[in-house]
Amino acid sequence: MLKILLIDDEEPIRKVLGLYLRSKDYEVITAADGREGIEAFQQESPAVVLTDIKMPGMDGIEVLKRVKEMNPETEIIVITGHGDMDLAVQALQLDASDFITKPVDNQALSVALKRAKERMEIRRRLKEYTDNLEVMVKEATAELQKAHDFQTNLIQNSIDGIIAADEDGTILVFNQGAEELTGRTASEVIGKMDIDSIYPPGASKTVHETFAAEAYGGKNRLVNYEIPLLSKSGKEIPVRISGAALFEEGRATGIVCFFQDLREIKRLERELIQSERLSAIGQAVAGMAHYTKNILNGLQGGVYIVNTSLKKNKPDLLPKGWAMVENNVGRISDLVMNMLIYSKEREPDYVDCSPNDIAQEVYNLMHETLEAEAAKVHDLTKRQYRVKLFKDLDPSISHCYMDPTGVHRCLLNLVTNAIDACTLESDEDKDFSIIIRTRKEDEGVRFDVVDNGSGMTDKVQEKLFERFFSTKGPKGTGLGLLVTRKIVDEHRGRISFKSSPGKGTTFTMRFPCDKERSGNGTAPKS
Amino acid sequence: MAKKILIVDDEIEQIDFASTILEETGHTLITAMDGREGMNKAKAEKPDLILMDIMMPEQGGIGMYQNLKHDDETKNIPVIIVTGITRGGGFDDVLVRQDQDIPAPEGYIEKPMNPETVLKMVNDLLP
Repeated sequence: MLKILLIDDEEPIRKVLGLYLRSKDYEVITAADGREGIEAFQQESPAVVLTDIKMPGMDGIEVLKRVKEMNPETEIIVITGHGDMDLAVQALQLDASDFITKPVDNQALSVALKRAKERMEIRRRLKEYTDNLEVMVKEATAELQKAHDFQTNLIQNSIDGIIAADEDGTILVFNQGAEELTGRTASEVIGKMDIDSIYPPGASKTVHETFAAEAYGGKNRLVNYEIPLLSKSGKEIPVRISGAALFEEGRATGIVCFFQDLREIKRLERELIQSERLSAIGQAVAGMAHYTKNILNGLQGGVYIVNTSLKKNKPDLLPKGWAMVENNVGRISDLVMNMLIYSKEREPDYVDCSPNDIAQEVYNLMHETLEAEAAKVHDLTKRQYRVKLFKDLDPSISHCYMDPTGVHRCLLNLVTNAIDACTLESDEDKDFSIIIRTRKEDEGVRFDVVDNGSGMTDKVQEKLFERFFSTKGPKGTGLGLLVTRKIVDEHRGRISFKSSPGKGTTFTMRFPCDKERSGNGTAPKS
Repeated sequence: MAKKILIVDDEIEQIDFASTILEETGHTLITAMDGREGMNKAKAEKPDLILMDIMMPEQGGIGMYQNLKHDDETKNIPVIIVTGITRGGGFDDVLVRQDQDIPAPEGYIEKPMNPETVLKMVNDLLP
């Protein structure tokens, strides 16, 4: 029940209004003047005060002021005499809720009270809402805090290093993972260090460029890019970096990067390479053993023939035996050279030289070998030797920047293979020819070694560049082509072949010629 | 009495080596440089012993051996196989897998050839 304090110095009015209000279910307290009214207000704390303005002693305006002082939320309706508009306005300025005029009309009073109640209700709801809002804000804040703590934890305890920086590059986030990677603590980095300084000199430029480019995950992003970080102690730590540039309304605001530690992976990779190398060495040793046994056989044969010549005084045997010793010493030295070239990482020894001269040298050498072989075969079997060597050198080729010893070895290996492809071919009565060809090309020079020997089956072609693959059994090591390709690769050249079984094979090597393209830098990584 | 020995090898050095060793025996030496020529000479010359390399072009060595042992004219000629492949893991397996009926050769010589072993084996097979 709503409590109303009714203050009026005229008793009949108090009575009539009191009756009316009680009939409308209000609890009514009455006071005959201002002072009494204030006292009643203090005791009863009514929600609504209905007061006459013109009263002896403390008038209605004064009552209004005091009540508002005590409880500003009290609804005060003033009763003014007819024509006292000035007082009514003054009362409203002092925050009275409403005014009604004398003689008090019941309906006007009802409307005034109804509005007062509505205002009270609005205030109540507002208050309730405000109270709720506070609770809700508190709850939301707690949620946010939790989410924030969770994210902070996530960032902090992520195994990956996480580093974020503002648009100037100043580091703002530096988690435990980053601490472990770099050996720096968050406190010595956050707000103090530039994100570029976590990379070795020069590497940050690469990172910026890669960020701006499309290659790794698109523009302004970086996905799985491998680069070293620089630790506090100056050690380079291999990491895989993923990151994104951050934007707010189109404006760059910073950058966040994730770093995966690759040290363990790199270590395992090294171990794998090492074990592969060991197993390759095992294979190589087995192949090499057969091959060297063959050479040893030749050497022992030569020595035996020389000894027989000396012991039995047969001077005609001496040159034959000695040639055999020499030949096999040559084979051993070729083998050792190939092994050395294959096993070492090396840069070609670039010299300004003539590719045609290299081809001519190889031609001369192999021509001589074939002539000697032909003479021996003829001597022994009265047959014509069926392998002939030709050259076809492009006179427009002048000079080239390459390693003549390496290229010489490549050609020698290819011609040796070509000869074997002819002589290992079954006993058809076919005339075999091998051509050493040079051609000038736009970007450099091309060497072809063409034979019409046995050719290669698809199976052989597939395995061609495998480690120590050989079709020659104990008469080959499988090293020749490996070494050849290695030398070509080191020159940043290309090697290719075309072959069909029974028809022959053509090997082609292309080398860049000018100083820049053949490269003064490091060898390409395979 | 002088006998006839056929030496078959695709490498001239190997023929020279074997010839020099076998010259001591006083036997007549004839040579061939691949499987086909070897088979032809075996039939034409009827040697008393064949010393042959197994690693010759293509199927040369193994093919020739099979031909020899399947041909009535030549199947009784003793054969010494010269091989760089270690015995046991090599030639026998290949032969047996390819041809169940084929008899084993009368002798094996492993490279590098030891002249004394060659001489002893030849003398044993040519009494």
